[in-house]
Amino acid sequence: MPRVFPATWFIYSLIMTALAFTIRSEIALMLPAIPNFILGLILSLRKKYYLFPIAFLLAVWALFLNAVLFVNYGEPVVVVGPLVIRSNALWATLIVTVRIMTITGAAMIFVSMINPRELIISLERQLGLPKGLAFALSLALRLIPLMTYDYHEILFIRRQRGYRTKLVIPTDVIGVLLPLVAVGIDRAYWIGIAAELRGFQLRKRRFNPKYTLWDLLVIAAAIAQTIVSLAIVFLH
Amino acid sequence: MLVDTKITRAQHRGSRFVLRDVFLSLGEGESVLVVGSSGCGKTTLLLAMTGVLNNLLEGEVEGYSRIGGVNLLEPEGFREVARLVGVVLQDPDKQIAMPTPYDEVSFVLENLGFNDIEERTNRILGMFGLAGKEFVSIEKLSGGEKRRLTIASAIVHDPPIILFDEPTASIDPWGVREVRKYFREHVSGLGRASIVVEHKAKYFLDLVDEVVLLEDGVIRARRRISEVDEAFLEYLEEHGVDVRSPILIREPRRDVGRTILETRGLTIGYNGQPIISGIDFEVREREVVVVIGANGSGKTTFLKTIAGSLKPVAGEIVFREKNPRIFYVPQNPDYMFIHTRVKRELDDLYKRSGRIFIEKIFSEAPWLKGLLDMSPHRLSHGQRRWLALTIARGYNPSIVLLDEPTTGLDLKLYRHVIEWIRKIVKEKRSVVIASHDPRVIADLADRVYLVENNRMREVSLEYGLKWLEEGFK
Repeated sequence: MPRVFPATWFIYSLIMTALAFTIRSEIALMLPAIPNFILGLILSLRKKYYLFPIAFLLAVWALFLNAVLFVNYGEPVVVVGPLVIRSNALWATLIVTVRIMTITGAAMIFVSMINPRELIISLERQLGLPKGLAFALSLALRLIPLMTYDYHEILFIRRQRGYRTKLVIPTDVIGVLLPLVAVGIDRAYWIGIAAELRGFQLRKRRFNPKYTLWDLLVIAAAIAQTIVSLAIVFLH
Repeated sequence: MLVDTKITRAQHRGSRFVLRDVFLSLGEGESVLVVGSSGCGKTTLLLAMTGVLNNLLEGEVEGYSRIGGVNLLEPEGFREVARLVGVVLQDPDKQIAMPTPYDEVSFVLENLGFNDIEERTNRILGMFGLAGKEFVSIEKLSGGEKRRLTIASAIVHDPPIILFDEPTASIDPWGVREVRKYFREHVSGLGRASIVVEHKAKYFLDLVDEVVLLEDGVIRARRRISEVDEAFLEYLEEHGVDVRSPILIREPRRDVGRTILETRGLTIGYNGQPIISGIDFEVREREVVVVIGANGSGKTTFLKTIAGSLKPVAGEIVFREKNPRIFYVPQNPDYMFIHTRVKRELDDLYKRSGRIFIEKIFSEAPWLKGLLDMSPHRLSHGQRRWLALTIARGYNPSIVLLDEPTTGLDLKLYRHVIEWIRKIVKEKRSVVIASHDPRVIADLADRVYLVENNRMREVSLEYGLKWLEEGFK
């Protein structure tokens, strides 16, 4: 794959998501939804990122159930025993599914095409993200595995001490959050001191936007999809 | 003078502890070892002299701290701290901020506006044995590699002085050996000055020019290294400083009972990937068994597998009791606390173990009465460790599994923990300790298992002790 900066994929996903929320016509939204979803699905499956496809299927199933329960009126379309599925339930499912397809498709493309570390560097350099925010994102990448470890340790100790590991009531949540936060704050305190002692306050904004032809093509693809979708909206 | 520090008074915001009249001066290439027990003010001194305490943490510092002629206590001077000072903190996981070694090393260079970032970063990573791991996630580095990375990050921009805050606290003897090697080659060997804060003085006595003893925030004693004699070492030891190698004293063997835990051909690991294979291990009643090995060798995984937190990859674990009472105490005591107040933790133990147990706790630790309304997470490190161990004891286990229980403890706190373990053995419990601390073998072990090259085998106490002691030399 030619080199495209992660910030460009970020902008692409942002445009697609904005499109999904703003375009009211389902027909117009089909255009970005179908190719983005197919491309995203192929890339995700190649990288073995199954979370998004599974989440998508669950969301569509939940949407369908919701539609059948609350907006099941109009002409009967499918009759399965006592269950009659009517046109409006299917139409409502389709409308929201198309939006979710657009967003999920863009998200799948985004996570498949970038690595988080490069994204942060790219956001700082290509988009001029403030240094504090870029540092916070880097730190989050660093801390997530540590906090996952902490979480598992805490749950095991709870089990050992005869407490629930499923967080049912607020005291369960507090019992897990307290040590998690205590350990996290201590870590963040020292990492912050270490960062300052290594000149973080002197760090200059590293805004140096340089885009390749491939970046421009990706942005152009996003703009083209937006224009065509808007054109369909106006024609209808 | 490269370093000229005269701190007449330093204090954290809202703290009663005060550092008083600490004067330090170092020429180029000189090294000072600051020793003292936990809470004596060693870390406060580093924070004060770098200007962090008053400029970042809203503490109060009176006096001056000049490095290379720049007073770091003044806001303008503090802006220069990164150019003048390299810092290695106690726990690499509380220092490394970036997700990969390359980013971590280049972070300071980018901050200081260096032009040859890529070249410098690659060169220093190569020098510290991290070539080929530039873009590996930090989580995939071993404890020793993380420690090397923190030293590499501290010196990559060529500061004239390096500050080390307990650099050996969380590493095994081989890690200590590496720290000593890099200290010799890249700090003192290249004419850089350094201040090393440690309570395990024995690791640095041969590498520094001066030893300073801090106690209750004041300098109690200082000696040029040529003047350090046996009497001074004894004096340091009396003040909670670890200055000697442990000595194995062969005591009559404890009256151990029958085998209560046994593993047969046990293979342990994560996600089906073996870390240690073919483990034949046993624990008897009233016995202290120490499992030794380097960082990352699988000692913790072994304890967690015994405790039931991880499933064995193969083999079996056999308990004598039908419902074995096992309690695992992690290295970090903070994981152990569930409640918002110390009192509630004790209420919990009261429900499980009764009034007599609680009375016993208060008689052993009368200081606890003044801390009942405090969050357990706000206790000192030693108090947290003690409370975590006491919680384990309150659950009345027949086998206690302790993961590195002596990490980060000074001599005084170490002796408290040893005493605590002896007490619970007297209560007819067995203890399995995973540790790379040679003192634990000398002071406690009945038997020792060594983890090496993905295998675990029983070794004599003498061999285990020698194996660990030779590690750092």
